[in-house]
Amino acid sequence: MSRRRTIDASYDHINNDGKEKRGVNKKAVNQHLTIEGDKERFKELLRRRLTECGWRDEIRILCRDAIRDKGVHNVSVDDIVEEVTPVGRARVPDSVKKELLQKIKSYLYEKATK
Amino acid sequence: MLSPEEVEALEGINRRFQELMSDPENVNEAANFLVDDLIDEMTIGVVFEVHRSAKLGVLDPEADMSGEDPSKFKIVEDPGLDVFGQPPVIKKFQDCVCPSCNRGLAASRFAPHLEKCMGMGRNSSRIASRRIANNSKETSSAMASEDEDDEWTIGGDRRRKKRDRSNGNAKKPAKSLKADRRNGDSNSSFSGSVSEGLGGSTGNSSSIDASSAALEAMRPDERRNLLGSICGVISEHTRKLCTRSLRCPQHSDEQRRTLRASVLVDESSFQSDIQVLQVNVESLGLDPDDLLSGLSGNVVGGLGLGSLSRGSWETERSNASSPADSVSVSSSTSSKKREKSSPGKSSSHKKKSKHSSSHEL
Repeated sequence: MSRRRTIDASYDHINNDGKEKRGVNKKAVNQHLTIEGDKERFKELLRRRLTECGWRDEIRILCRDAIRDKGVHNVSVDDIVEEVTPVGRARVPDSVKKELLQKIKSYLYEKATK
Repeated sequence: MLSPEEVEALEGINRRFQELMSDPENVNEAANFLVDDLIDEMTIGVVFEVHRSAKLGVLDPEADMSGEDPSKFKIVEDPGLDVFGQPPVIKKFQDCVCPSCNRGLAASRFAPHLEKCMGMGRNSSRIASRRIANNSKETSSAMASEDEDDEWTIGGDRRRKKRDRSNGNAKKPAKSLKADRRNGDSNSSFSGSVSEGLGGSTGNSSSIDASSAALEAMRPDERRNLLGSICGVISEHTRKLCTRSLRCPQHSDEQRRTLRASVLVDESSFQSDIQVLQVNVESLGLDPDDLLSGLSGNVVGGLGLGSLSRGSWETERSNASSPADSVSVSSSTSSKKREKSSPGKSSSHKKKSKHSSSHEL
């Protein structure tokens, strides 16, 4: 049952992601990772790394600033996401990004050759 | 558990994944995509978190804090200040307002003040009752029928009576003292000689025990009674008699014995001295009754032994048929006592006898 739910969740997520050219491919990869449960593993790793380097605090401050700019009652989550996501992506330390990339690549290769 | 369609879908995903991963370029692309995706997810997580707390109002205090100078909230460690950097407040006295006279008072003084103000204390009750008595005296003529008033007048009268009595007591000794002095003045020639004669003996006694003046102010029987009931050793510091029991642990039996010996012996020799003196005066051919008042007044003033001298005088007069006889008797008694007393004292007694003999001549 739980597996089914995760599949549905992953579908939703991918649907939200947009209609790029390689959307289907991405969707497939994402689905695969989600189903195997490895995505959660990577997420956990990233969360740890980002907390360690203070990225989360930075993003928190960014969010607060965004909320203050627009007013607490006028702001929506989408507004904040729109404002914060590009900055957040840029702020992730290269070392963390590289490590994660490396891990995912090796994982994918492993999966592919299996 | 899974429906056939779902199983098929899963297999399709797997197959597709395998296809995609066979191409290294796709793998790189997928990896990049996944990283970005994960980062975005993290960002969204944080955004949700902050948005939620902002909507719940939890964020505001946090936001306020960040804007201010955190050094303001540091614990102050300067000497003389508390942890908030404030100087210690000087003890503030709480003010109370007296319900009776509406005056502001320090809390510590409130109870004593109230005592006076409300007329509860001893002093104030006296004052108050006096005031009430005065008031009632004035009003009693107008409203004597009232019970309360009567009560108060009675109380006031009693009070006044008491006061009168105490005043009388206070006046009496002053009056008598004045009279004594007047007597002494009228007999100034005598008092001079008597005091001169007594001067030797008083000097003598004071040299033995300067601090027994308090004892000397008493009559001998009183003295004996007193010393029979209390320790009576004279303290070196306070120059006062020890008023504890005969077995007081502060003083030794030795001390008590020496004190009694000195005081009682002294007294007896003293008595004899006075006798000698009185006899001398008599032998000078003066009326002893005239002398008595002057002598006793003087002695009371100087030594407080008036009654003693008077008592001895009476016996002396009744026993002595002639002045010469009395002299011989008194001298013999004094010489007997002299044997008992210390050598230092006896020398002064000799002086005394010499002095008296000069008077005789």
